[in-house]
Amino acid sequence: MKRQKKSEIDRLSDLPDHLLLHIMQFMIAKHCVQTCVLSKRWKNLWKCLTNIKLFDPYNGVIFDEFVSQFLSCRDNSVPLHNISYKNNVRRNYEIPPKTTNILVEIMEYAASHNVQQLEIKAKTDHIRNLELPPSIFNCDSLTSLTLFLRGVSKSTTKMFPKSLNLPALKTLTLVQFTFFTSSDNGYAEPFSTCNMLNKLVIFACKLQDDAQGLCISNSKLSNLAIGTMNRRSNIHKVILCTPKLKSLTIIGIPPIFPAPSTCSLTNLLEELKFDCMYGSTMGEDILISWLHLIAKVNIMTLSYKILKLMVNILKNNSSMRAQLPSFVKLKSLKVEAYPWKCDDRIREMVSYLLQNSPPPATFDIVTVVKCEATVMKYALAFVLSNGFERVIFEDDCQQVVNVLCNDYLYVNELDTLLSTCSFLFNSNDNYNIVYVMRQVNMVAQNLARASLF
Amino acid sequence: MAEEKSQASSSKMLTLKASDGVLFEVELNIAKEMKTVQAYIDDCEDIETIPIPNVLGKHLAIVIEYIKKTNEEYDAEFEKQWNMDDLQLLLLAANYLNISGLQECLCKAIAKRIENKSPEYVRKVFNIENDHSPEEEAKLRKEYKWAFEGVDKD
Repeated sequence: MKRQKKSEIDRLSDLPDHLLLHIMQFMIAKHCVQTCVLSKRWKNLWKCLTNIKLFDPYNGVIFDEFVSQFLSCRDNSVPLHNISYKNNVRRNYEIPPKTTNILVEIMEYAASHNVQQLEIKAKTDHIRNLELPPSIFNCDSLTSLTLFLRGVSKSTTKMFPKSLNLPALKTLTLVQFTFFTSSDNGYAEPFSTCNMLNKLVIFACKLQDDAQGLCISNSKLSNLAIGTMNRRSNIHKVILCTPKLKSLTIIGIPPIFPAPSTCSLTNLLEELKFDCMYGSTMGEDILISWLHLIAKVNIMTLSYKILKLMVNILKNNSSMRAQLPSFVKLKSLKVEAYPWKCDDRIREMVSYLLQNSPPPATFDIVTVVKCEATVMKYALAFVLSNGFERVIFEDDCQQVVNVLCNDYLYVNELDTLLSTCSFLFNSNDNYNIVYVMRQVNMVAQNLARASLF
Repeated sequence: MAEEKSQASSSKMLTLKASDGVLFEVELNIAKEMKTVQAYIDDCEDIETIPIPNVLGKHLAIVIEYIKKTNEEYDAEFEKQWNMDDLQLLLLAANYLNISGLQECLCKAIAKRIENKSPEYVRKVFNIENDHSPEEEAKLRKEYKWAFEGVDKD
């Protein structure tokens, strides 16, 4: 059939298949499948996707059914690079038995198709005794693995295999796993065979009951984040043999283990971050060991909560005060705080902590993400319910700005919050968001403080 | 013209000639972000004017501007300025010139605009000719009904 006007050129079809696929890779799987009805050319195009996003923002109950069908219809001769599955639905407990195997199905599919990056973030309340298939822990092609399987309660964990055969793995993120000891020294050393490992995140994990501690021994590891949600975690000791480690982050509650003993850790470690938003105690001996580690880094970020905790412990303990090191190497210090926390008070606490130290070259107080996200959600709801059409949001939290501009779906503590914000924000093309520095955002700060009275 | 990415080491200038004859003088390090141009330079070292036969002057200008300025904030604002036709022609340009960052940004932008819309809507926007017979389409919708639940009605 002839085209009638020059302006009615079939634009999207001018793009070659590989570009159409590249576009589709930014869409969730469901929408990709729907393109099959566009025209004959599109009928089977979606089956050649190499990057697959299995998310369902509508939280349909039959989502897992969809995933199963999707994988079985996909063209098996096309290589697979990346699968991402995120399902944060709180399920009702009457589910057809078929769907409870979807996680295993995805992992086995990924492993048998030489996947490079695999990410699974799911609530697993309804799956009793989920057994992870060994194939995914023995995969030559895997470079990035994220397993975030949230169990019924914060204390339940999945068993992590004693041995891994992931020679290409560079990034690993694990949430709610138990590590077992495999060597005679009584330490759990789960990742030692991953010679390429560069970035490791371990959150809310445990050790087998009689383990001495956790040993992380990787010659290329440069980024480590470790933490726990409650004091019931039994990771009481961490040993690091990580000569290239540049950045160490503690997430969750203040550390329950002393600063890691190391072989040559302190030579290269540049940055220490305490992303501790809750928890109100910390052992004194443990604090001393961390203070000594802080004295060796150039860059440090503290949450308000842990700053306050450290200062309180020091104030109440004169012998500890006597041991307070001088943080001469500290060049940059950042404190993350809620907007209603008084900046002057923060400065006071920082001065106390640095009483034996020269002032750092840069010092910033930034607004914490979770709070910003909550505020953003209310702002969006307000704007939508009042029918404002064109809105510019100003936010002094870079992370929230990034999330809303880039359309991520998070699954973690901030998950529902940020997903909701993202969904609401993107429902209107005329909503814009810009980043402003906290000091500039005085209107918001003053309003926030005024509302407390 | 202010150069955001100017570097002292590389002040050599190169001329790029668009398909409609428009000429652009750019610094070597900017031109090198276009891997196609880089390959051209590698092949013929002395070249001073490089023809870009697939890209209109108007789009080449936008591409060069993108390379100079690109960062996260710029990316977020960048795609909002262009209509769908321009986005696609820019994508073809980025693909031809082999600039992966720009290609990524544009694919994401196009996806965002067509995602969440019904097939009828997408066809209308891009003037895709539906060469499925009604029976064929119905058959596809039935075969993949697990993918067609809960679509926007617009």
